[in-house]
Amino acid sequence: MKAILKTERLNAFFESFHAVRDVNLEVTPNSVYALIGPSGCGKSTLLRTMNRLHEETAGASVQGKVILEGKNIYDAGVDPVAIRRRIGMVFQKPNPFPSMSIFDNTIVGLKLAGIRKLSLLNEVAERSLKRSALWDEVKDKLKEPSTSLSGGQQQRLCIARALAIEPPVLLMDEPTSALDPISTARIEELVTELKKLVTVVIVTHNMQQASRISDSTGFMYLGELVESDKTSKIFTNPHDERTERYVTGRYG
Amino acid sequence: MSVIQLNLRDRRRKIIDRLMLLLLVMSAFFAVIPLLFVFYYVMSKALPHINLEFFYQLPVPVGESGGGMGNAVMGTMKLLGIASIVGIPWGIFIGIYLSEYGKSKTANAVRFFTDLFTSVPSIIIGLFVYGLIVKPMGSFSGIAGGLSLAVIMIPIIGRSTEEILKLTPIHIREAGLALGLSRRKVIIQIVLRGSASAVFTGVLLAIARASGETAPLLFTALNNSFWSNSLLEPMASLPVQIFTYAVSPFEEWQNQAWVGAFVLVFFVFGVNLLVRIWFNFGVKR
Amino acid sequence: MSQVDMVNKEFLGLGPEVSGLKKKLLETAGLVEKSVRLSGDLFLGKSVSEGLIKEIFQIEALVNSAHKDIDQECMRILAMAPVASDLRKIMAALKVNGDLERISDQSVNVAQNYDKLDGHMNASQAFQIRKMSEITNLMICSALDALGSGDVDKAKKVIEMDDSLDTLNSQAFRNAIDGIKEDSSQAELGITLILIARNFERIGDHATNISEEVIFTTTGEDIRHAGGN
Repeated sequence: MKAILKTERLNAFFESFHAVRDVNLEVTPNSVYALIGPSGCGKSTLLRTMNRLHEETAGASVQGKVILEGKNIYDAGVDPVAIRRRIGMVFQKPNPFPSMSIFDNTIVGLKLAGIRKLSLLNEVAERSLKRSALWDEVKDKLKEPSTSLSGGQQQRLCIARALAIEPPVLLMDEPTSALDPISTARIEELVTELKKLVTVVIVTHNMQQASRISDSTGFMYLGELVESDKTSKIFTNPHDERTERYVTGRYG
Repeated sequence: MSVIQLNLRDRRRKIIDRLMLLLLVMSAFFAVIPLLFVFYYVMSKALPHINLEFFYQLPVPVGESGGGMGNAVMGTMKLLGIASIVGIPWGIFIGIYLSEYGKSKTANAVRFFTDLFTSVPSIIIGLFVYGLIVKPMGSFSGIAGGLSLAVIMIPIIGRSTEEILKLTPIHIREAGLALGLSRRKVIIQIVLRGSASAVFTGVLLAIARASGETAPLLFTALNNSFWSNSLLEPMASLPVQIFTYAVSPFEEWQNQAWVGAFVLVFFVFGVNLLVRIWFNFGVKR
Repeated sequence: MSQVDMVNKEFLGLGPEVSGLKKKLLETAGLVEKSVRLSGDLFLGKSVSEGLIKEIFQIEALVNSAHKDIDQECMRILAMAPVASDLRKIMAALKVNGDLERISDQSVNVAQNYDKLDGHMNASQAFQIRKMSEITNLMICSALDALGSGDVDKAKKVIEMDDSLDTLNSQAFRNAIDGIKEDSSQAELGITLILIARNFERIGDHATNISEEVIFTTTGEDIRHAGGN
């Protein structure tokens, strides 16, 4: 099956620090791809090159290609803002916009892009909140501030917000590491459901999570993509010694 | 240590604790007393002479009864209006620039000069605007006065806006960018809108501060015994009028000065109180 | 829970747990090896059989108890969610544990069947059983060596030896059937001999299973059911 997202010789730098080294990976459509590895291995940086967020940091730069649906997003003349409408992102700390209500937060991506028709916004809001399994809990209080929700609910709101603009790919940067185990489990369930709609790339430092919800896994170490394979293989019989050492906890 | 020794240490610690608390309360009290004293004094001097005519009648020559400082009250409002129209957008713009692009060398220079302006004596600012506008124009004017107040307000608003915007965590901005919104939209529609209350309170405080400035107005708006018909004429203002009347030898004028002072103090105090209440009730949802 | 060696600052993962398990497994394996050897020694023609049979039963009691302990250990470690080579080792340990217990059972069966024979076995029949027992001893020895060292080549040799054991088993079967056809009063003896041969053949099968587990643990390859049996 043709990959929906591909990187070719992707490198990322912070000034002169070489954070991501020559990464080549492929993500098949409607699957979950997990990125694991020790702290500082570059997995978050790699993720942020996929929606051109990395270059927003002062001094940061990218070399190589990221190919989304057949087109290189780093081609000259490509507008990063337009790219980010095709790739959604959910962050580690739930970050709904503080001054906005639940409803406003959900459809903010549409509203600020100029879509004002209320019936359409209502429709999109309901659909997105249903897709992120939050609708039942908030349908009676859509106008309440987003800060009145619990951490797990806020994160699902952020997922709804990202889904509202209907991107084909969703990036998730350790989305459950700030949440309690029950919220974590609900979001993992959600990701497995979302596969039918979008393709997910998820960075996680929790290996059990990766083995639970992902179809393929990539192990990163010191900026390199050491091994990338089906999740079952990585966790039962990895090819590389470094991968073996990391997943069995021999890594220091 | 034995139990008895522990108890004694405990008791001693508690006594010292209470003593320190007492000292703190007393110092807070002593800090507030002069303020209360000023309020009381001004009120006692002003209240016997306060009347509604103060707010809409022109000053009258000595010897005549009645009259007020209507033109000064109106003048202060007009001057603050001009200062706000110029100063608020400019100040907020500087605040946005410093908070969003604040790490570059240019930004550091801007920040340095902004801070410099806040510490320049306001009379120098008055002279600055005098040289810039009054002299070329050939006359004192309300415009010049308003602009001098703007120059005072801009750095205050700029720095307070910067600090408030910096409170928005970076991942909120990133969330906005990740939704495919341009940087401009993220800053204005998300960050600024999110801190609108706080920014507004910063603006109100800057206005309150500017309302009491006298020195710059002496070189720019000067004063006017009558209503100013246009902004290009000299304009009366409360601080200047109070000053003029206070140093005069006439008792009626001195009484009027007290009333003016009272109005000014009340205005500044009122704005600060409003800001406090708004912040505590509006933001604490 | 992953462990850390605080002195050498090494991250040990589940290493200590898995090594502890392996040690227990190898101890049990040693007992089982002895039990199989003793059951073969019954057919040496000496009259020390009483003591041998008693020892075989004693070993069985120890092996059964260890069998339960090791299964519980495996479950405890599985609850810690081992992955990769750790996971394969625990899976293998569970299966090998079962194989060892059944090998010990088969030894006991040999001893019981020997009792039933009541000495009514002739020299050539005893010789045949003895040959099977020698191969089985070799297979068990090699399989358990491979288990301890992870030696894939040794494991593969064990699997090869299984064929010769099967051949001997078929021969013993044929001989016994022929014997019964000649003299039907020898039926009980013949059938008991078939059963004993079958016991040794089963022991060889279990040794083969253990070898397959060793190969899986070391290489991650599942070579079971390969080649038409």
